Amino acid sequence: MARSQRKRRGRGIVLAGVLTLLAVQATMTYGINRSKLYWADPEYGTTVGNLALRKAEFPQRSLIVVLGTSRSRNGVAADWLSQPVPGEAAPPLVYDACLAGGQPIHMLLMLRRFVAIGAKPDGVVIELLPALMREVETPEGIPARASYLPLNPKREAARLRYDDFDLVRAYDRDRQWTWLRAWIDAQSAPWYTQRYTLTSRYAKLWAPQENVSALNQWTYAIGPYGYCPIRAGTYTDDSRQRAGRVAEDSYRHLLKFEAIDSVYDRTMRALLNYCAEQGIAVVGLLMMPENSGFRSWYAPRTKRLVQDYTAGLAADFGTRVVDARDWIADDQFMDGHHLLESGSIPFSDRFQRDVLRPWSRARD
Amino acid sequence: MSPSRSGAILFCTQEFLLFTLAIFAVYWLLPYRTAKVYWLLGASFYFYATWNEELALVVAGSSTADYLIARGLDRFPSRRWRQVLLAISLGGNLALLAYFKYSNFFIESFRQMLAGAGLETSGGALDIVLPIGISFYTFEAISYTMDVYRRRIPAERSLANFMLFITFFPHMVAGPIVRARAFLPQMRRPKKLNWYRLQVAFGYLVLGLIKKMAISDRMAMIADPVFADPGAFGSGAVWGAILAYSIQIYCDFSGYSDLAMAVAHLFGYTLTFNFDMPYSSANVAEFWRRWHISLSSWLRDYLFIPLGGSRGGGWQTSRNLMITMALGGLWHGASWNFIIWGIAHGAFLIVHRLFRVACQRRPELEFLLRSHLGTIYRIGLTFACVSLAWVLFRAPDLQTASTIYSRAFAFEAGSPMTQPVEILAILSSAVILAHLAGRSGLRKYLYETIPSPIVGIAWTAAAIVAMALAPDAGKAFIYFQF
Repeated sequence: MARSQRKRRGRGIVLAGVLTLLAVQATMTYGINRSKLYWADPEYGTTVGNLALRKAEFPQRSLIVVLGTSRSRNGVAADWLSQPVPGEAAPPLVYDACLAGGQPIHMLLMLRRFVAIGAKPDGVVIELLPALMREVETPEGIPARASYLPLNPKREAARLRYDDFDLVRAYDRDRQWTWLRAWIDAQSAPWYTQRYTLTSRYAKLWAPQENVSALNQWTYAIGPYGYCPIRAGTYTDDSRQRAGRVAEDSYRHLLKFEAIDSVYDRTMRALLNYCAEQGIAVVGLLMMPENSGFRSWYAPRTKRLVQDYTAGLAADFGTRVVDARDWIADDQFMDGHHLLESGSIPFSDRFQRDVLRPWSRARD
Repeated sequence: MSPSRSGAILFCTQEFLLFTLAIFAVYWLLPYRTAKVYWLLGASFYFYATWNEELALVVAGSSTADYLIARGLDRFPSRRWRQVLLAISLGGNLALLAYFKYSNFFIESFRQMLAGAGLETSGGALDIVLPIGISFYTFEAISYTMDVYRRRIPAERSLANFMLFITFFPHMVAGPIVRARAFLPQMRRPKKLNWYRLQVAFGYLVLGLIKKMAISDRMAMIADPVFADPGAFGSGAVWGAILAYSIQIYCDFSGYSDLAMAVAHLFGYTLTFNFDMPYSSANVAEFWRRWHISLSSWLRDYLFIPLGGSRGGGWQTSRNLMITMALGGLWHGASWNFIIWGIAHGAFLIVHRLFRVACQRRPELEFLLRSHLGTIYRIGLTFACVSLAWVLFRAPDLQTASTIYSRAFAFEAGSPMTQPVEILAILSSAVILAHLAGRSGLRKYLYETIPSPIVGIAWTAAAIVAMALAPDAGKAFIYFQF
């Protein structure tokens, strides 16, 4: 091939390659930030997808969204709560919009996104997780598994759209540039940074098994009402014991604190203020069931502090605290704080009786 | 002994990409050739210093010593003085290698020997940090001083040029082992960035990414669990791991070489071609002409031939082959595994040589073996021998290698592979097809006939898919440890 021919051919190849790269980058970045957020955040994507379907199915019913953690996702049997009872008026549509490891910032993000897509709920139930209330520092480089500490930008930034940044930066002012850098890293080469969700969705054979397992647990197992029951047959006594030990290692030391984390308080109040601004009723501030062993890890001062703090929040925002920590027997838990399906039904039954129905009646 | 620290710039990372782009941008803005050399030299030392600052000084010191010795070789006509200088260079480089890489191996082996004789010793291993790339740059330095001694090339007059030859960051960490006579003249040629060079770099980059991220790291997910605990796996999984590791090491090492060539092209340099479809070899001798070409040619030119090569009788040639391959094995790592691996290849080469001589007396057999079916058989046999030898290369110790061999050749029940067998089948087929396409000329034909925009789009799509298929934990390149 002549030299000039080689150069012309080289130019064609390089330019076509660069343009292709830019096109794929732009398409995926636009998609993630506009319509295909589930590429970056499959848990949210599946949640909002199912919510949209339920709203379309029952357009006339009022909507109550439960914002919380995996405890609520496993424990609030939203499909059961949404079933009409013969002879009675159709209850509100209840939907579990919970995230594994969810913190107030996640709940606020979720709610803002629901409002943005026209799925504004009539009411919300907000889960309070006492372990998140403890005052902590903001270390860099914390492991991704430590979701009960301040957010890890490297892990979380990929889940955010650019619109979400003002919120995150307000929450974590000391690490604004870290968040921006992490977000830019995540947005560049999204085919690489989002490869687990992409392969798990479109090329399951190639998805690393441990990532598929995690996604199966927190994404693909999400039911049509967002409820994710822990069913009989999916665990053994051995696995329950192991899970219990993991819970103890994770939580025991977190339930001995003497001050409420100011960042937790600020974001929880931001969430409640947002509800007020949007005219979204706060049905209750819910503390999910825990077994007796779990409850014994609270230091006495911590117990009082949590009670006073949650009561203060409820009073400030005109709602109630639903302290359901001692509602369910010990043998109905997977690990001391996640309910089995057999425990979630009696919990949901009592929740409906003591909380939802009175609220609906008062509203009507 | 690991040289890396948390700030090290690793290949296939965002940091390396940003580093390379920054160096590239300034490089082509610099007007003078000398300025370009100094810029690259500074970048190369910075790159090395991110691994270990103190050892960067070791590289600088040993390079300076070799530069001065080569200048002396040019200057002094006396044969005796020249031999002394060469001996100093060889001794110095080999001493560096011996100290940093083999001290603890020699100490431990000596201790085991004494223990075998009933003598106990005290004391632990030396705390030595292995300089990254030492096996590669010492061999480059040795080849340089020997070429100057043999008057094949004049000594390089510019210290900066010589140091850049040694420390040029794309190839410093894991080769290819570049010859001075191939690299130094490139520094004196004017450099121009043109579309052709960019396209060549682009092509090597895509190839390197596919091999490393989509294939090698994926094969590691199959091989690593089995080599970590072979007793837990069945024979099927063991054979799967042997095949997977054969593919892993090829794609890992040749992928690195491709990336090194891509980066070098960005700066106007061409590095030595290091892999030429080695698994399409019909015998072990051909395998070593196609695998890690820069090392095998170095061993041939600076060890095998000085030992006598194949100029003596059959016994002497076999002896020279065995010494060369055993030392070649030792070069890879300070462990008896590598030495035995080298000896195994030495044995393969000797057997091949004897068989070839026997075939020459049997024309019908030779005809049969050179037929299509015969060639396929020979390629399969060569691949099987090479793959089985890789077990020694990969296993952490001889005990593990022994367990793998026993589970491979005696049917043993156990756990299956940890990854779907379809992945192994698909990626193995891809490597085979790529070899066939390369050997048959199909790749060249396609490249020259398909319109250039289609080629560009296809290469980009392939790179994107390769990155999307990269498994969770990206692994460092295997040859970084050498």
